[in-house]
Amino acid sequence: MAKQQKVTVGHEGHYREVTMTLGNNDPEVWDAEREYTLVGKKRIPRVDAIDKVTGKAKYTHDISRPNMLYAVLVTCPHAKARVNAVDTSEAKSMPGVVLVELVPNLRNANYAGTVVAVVAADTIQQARDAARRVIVDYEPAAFSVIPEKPQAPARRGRSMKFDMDKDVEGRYTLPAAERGSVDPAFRQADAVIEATYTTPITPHQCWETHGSVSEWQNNQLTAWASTQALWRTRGDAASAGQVSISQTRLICQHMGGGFGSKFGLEDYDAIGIQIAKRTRRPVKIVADRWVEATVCGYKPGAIMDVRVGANQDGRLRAMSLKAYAISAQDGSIDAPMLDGYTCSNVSTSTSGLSINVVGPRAFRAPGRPQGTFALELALEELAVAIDMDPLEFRLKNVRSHPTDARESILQIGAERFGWRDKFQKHGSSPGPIKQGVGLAMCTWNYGSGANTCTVRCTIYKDGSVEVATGTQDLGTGNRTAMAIVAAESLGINVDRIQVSIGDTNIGLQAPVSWGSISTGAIAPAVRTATYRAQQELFEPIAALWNTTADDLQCQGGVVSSKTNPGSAMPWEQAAARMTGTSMISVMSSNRHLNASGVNTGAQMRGAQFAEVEVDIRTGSVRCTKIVAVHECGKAMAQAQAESQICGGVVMGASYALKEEWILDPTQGRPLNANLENYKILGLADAPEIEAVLVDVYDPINCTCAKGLGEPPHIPTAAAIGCAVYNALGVPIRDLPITPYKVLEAATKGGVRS
Amino acid sequence: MKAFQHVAPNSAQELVALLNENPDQAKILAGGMDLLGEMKEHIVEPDMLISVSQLDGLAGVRTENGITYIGAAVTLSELAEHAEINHEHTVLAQAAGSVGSPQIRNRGTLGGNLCQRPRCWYYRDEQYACFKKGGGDCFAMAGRNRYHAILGAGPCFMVHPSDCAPALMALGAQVHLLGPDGSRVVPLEAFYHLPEDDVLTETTLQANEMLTEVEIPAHSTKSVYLKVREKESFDWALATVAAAFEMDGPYCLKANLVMGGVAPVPWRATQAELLLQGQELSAPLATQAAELAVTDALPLSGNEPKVMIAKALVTQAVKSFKVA
Repeated sequence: MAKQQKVTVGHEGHYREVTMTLGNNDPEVWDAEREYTLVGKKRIPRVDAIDKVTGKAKYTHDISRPNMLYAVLVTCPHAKARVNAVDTSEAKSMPGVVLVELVPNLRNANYAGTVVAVVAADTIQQARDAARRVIVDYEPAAFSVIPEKPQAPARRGRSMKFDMDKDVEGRYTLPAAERGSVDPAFRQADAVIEATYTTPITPHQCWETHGSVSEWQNNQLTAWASTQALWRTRGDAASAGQVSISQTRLICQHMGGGFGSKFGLEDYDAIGIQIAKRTRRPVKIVADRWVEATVCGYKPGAIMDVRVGANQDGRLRAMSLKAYAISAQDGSIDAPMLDGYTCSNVSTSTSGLSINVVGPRAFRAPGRPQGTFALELALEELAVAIDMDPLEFRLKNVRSHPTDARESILQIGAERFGWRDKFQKHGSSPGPIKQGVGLAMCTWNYGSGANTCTVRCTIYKDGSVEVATGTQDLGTGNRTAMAIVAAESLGINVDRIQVSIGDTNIGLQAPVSWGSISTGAIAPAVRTATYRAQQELFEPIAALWNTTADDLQCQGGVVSSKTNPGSAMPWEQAAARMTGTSMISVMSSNRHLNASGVNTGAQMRGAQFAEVEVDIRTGSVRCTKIVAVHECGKAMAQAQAESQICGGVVMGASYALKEEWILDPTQGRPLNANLENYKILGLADAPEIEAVLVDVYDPINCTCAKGLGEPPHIPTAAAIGCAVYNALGVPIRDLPITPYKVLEAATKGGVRS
Repeated sequence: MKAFQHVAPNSAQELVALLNENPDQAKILAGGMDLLGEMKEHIVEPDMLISVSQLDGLAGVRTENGITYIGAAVTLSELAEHAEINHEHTVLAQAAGSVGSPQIRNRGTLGGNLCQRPRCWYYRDEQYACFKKGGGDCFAMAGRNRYHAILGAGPCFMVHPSDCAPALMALGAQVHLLGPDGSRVVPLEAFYHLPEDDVLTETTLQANEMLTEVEIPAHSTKSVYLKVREKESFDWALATVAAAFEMDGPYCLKANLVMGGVAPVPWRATQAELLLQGQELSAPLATQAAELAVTDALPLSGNEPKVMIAKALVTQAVKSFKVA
């Protein structure tokens, strides 16, 4: 059985009505015409906010089990060394030490921080003391920590896209990325910018460092882990413990960030699980700052050769990128050249430059903040070369479409920011403190259609409701989004909804929290399960009122007939009428929808506008304001989506101005594997942030929800880089933009007060 | 962290006696903001920590005959918020208020701030046997040295990290040191020494001495503390300047200019001071003074812009008196 719905799709000023065919049992699509009560209407506080601020919320670091062992890692101090022998005898004799386990088959350590052994003791202090007494015979070898661009050309035709099926530890598949013919187009362009842009390696620095606690009871393994991927991590735990998956339980109720670095257990967690199995005691193993910074991955650095060309009228003619990712292995850099702007001739290539560091990991829009910085600053330079306002230049090179809101996003952002009043020509700011403004676009692929999420909605006899799935809350607010969607769907208050997540015992699959897919996968599943459960609840009431279930609705906690408003009863009363059962429980999965002619291939767009002050006497740069306009389809949880934007912006501003992994050329060790010298933007440095959400109704699922985890981090550094260029009149093409670089650029460029 | 004995004597004399009995093994614990970090990183591993928590007389600020006495255990927060210090010795209140983070200022003491060890990332990493740790090398020379010294350095290229030291030096302060044989008073300038004099220490404080008090003489200067750092909080300075000037209208009667974060000791810009004294302050004169302040600078491979920052700060400090 099928039903049809007229769905209003698109965005403000670009709406279009399409007819969609839905299953008879499917909820209607939430579109632009719907009268929302919560979604996009109210800012609902985080449902676990009080638990978090009172410390009641338990993170993996908070887990403490009776008789628990603490495990500490022995790490290699050298950038590259052969491990000849490990003597654990002294460590084993230390007070409280229970076990010292070597990392199996470790012959060579290829970065400072390589884990060599794990020491387990009764207290963390005993374990730390003993770890220092593990004597490792290292034979240091020649290392490389300074990347050098090769003479040979990079491979052609690669760009990056998350492949959800094949992804292992943050690797990506790379479909071809080339169109048109760049060389003739560059020859015909009126102006061409050709320059090299560089960005640093920035390690993951999760506030809650990586870690796990494992416990065995009767051959059943329970593990708590700070993870973005409950089910994968459960699989890792089972294989580490050599026990079946069904006998393994993984719990992650709360976590302090992941950003792409927590897709499974670390190798040392696996050793912890084995120690727990052998000793029959729970084992806790959490990374300290050194391990977090040296072992848990990073955003690759990049050297990017960019060429962009345009005509005097502002039309882009050609763009090319040759990128080198700086990492331990073959990394990838991804400039939004194909999907960012309308340009017929594009060529991109990316390859890796290897140095002695741990392998890279996904990091909040892998590859794209780097490429966006290079592309947007190059475009800014091109706008100056053709003497065009950078906003106008960008507007000339985007197109409008119902589900592609780039033009609107630029206009809305410019309006909110006051671009037309604030923009002055590059290098024209007088005095020693230069004002500057800049903007950058953001595009990011979205792929949740391929990710199954199953949600169970249970309506109890007292009218309370539970929605459950096996997802984890990275800190982004999944619990709250689920509660809001359920309440919106059922027409009852958020406080009637209990959300259960973070435990594989729930037994319902949800996707890994990566690729900004969680909300877009979970929300339609919640919507569908709640809809179907409610329909079931409505059946006896419909019979009572001599109508059908689809004639019934619930609004503001009151169940009523759409055709006969006289028939009405409170939600609780309706729930109490369920007969022969104490609950109605329905499981549903998300489903990808198609509406011909409107889907955009599921991009998420945005633009950010930055304002900076640059003191050319001291080199200090302050980013004073960011207006961040983003669309994530339809935002399910307004307040949490805005917070997500703020978080991405702060991380991006930090990337623009502060963060940088510093390796010692003499020994190859990191010099800032701590939070003293690894500088992260603090509150005192943070800009005022105006987060603006634009609704784009793109009916790829029944809620029009897409994702927002990664996009807000993509354009911030680029926008700030453009603003600094605008302030100084000289571009700084190397992140982070530190006081020293400002002073050098200002001196070299003859910038005067 | 290596296990240690913790003792809390009831008098300063007792404390000094304990130090004297345990040379090299005992350390004084006040706020612990620097010492505990060093111990966690295994840079120092004392067997005994002697707490000042039970001592009277290290707390509080008092004025006698125009002289201000500040106990060594006065916290940086107290200094930053102290009305009289803000009014009379502005540079010190500003310097103390710029240290680290609120938590650090609440725990950290003036004595600890003056006696803190270098932040050099080679010194703070036990893997590097540098001069300061009794080794035979300065790794910053060939390594990464953006935060290192541009003046007065060698063989070690540390910068002295204290904010309060340049401020107090600009105010002509002295420190009271208590040893087994009694107390001595040392001008702050003589308290600090260069690496070339003794690379293992930064001060003339003996292993059996404790800093009990800081004394600021009566003066009629106005003062200011300026600091440039990469982060606006919880960060060390790229450069600072503490300036205390005695003015008569536009004329500078006495100029005290001390730079921080640029040398292994708080660095007095003597030539700049001489240039300014008795002169009518002006923008060109400020620029000239700034040039003189860094005239001896010898930057390393990675810290040349620090010279510009130091110059900018001196210029700005001098100009601030002209406006006032």
